[in-house]
Amino acid sequence: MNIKKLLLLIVITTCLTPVSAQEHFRMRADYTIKGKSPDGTQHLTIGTVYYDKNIKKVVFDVRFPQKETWVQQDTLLYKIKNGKLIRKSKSLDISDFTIFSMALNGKLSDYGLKDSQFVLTNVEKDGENIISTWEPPAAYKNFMGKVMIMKNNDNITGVIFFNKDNIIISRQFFRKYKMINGMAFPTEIIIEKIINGEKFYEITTYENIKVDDYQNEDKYDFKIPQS
Amino acid sequence: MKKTYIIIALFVVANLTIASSSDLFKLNYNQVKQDFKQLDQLAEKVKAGNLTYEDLTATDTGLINNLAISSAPSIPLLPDGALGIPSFLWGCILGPLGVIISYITTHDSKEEKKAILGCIVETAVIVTTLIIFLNNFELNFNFPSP
Repeated sequence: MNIKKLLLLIVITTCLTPVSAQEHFRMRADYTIKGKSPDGTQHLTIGTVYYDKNIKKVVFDVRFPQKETWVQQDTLLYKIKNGKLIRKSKSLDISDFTIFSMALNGKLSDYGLKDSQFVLTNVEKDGENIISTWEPPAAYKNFMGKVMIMKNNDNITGVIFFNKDNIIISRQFFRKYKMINGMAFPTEIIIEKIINGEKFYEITTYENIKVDDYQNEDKYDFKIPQS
Repeated sequence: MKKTYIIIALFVVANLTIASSSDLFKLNYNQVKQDFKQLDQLAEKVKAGNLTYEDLTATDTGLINNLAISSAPSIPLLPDGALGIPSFLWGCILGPLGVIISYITTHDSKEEKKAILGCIVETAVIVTTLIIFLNNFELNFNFPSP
C-alpha cells in the first residue's frame, strides 16, 4: 500500500469517527437507585458519581449500603474500602458509553443508535413528541427486534426494546430534565423490565448535578491505592 | 368524491398509527411511584442520618427484613434492559455500544467475550473491505498546473 492510499485510509477512518463538538467535559451527581428484583428483594444504593471524559474514569462514591468507592477505568473495575483496594476485576472499557458520557458528548438524544447499524425506518410526530423506529439489519432480524425512541424537544423521553417477535421486553423513561450549564440531563430514569410477563421497575434519581465542576479534582482522577 | 374518501381514510389510518405508537410509551407513573413509597422513605432516612446498611441492621432490623433490602450496591451506568439478545450480535451490530450493552445486561464474562468478538469481527470486516477497496483502485491525484 503506497503513501497515498495510506493517507486516504486515514482520511476515511477519521471521517467515520464521530466528532464531538460539545464543550462539556465533566460532571458529578448525587444518585439514588431503587429497584425491585424478581427474587423479591429490593435494593437501594445512594452515592455520588464523578466522570471526566478526558480522564476516562467513572468514579462511584457509594454511601449506602456500604461506604466504598468503585472506579471503572480502562478494562478494570476497582473496589476500594477504607482507603484499601479490596477487589480488582476485569471489565470492559465502558467509560465512553455511560449515560454521563453520552450526555456530555450530546449523544443521549438518540441513545447512541445513530452511530450503530440500526436503520431509522420510521418517524412519527404526536403533538410535541417525535417517535422514531430503528430496525436491526435484515440479517439479524431473527435474533432481535426494533427499538423505538420518543423525543420531546430533542430530549429522549422513552426507549422501547422489542424482541424478534415484536414483543416489548424493556422500556426506559427519561424524566424531569434539568438544564445544567446548558446541558440537558434527565434527573429521573425509570427502567421497566418485563420478565416472564411480569414488570419490574428500577428508578434512578440524580440530584446536585454539577457540569464542568472545577472542584473535586481528586475524585475525578481518583488514585487507586495499592492492595 | 372517491378521492376524498381515500384521503379521509388515509388520514384516519395515519392518526390511528400515531396514537398506537404513542400509547406504547405510556407509563402508570403514579402507580410506580406508589410502589416505591417505602423505599423512598428509607432513602430519605438514610440520607438524613448518613446511615449504612450496618447502621440500619444494628438499629432497625425489622425495616431491613420487611423491605427485603439487599446489601449489594448497584451502579448507574448506561440505562439497561433485559434484551435477551446474543452478545455476539450486539458486538457485531452495534460495535462498542453493543459491548457495553452486553456488559450491563449480562454481567457474564463469557457473554462479554462474545460481544467483544462480535465487535472485532465487525471492525475486521470494515478494515478488510477498505484495504481491498484501496488495493483495487489506482489513485491519481493530478492537480491542474497553473
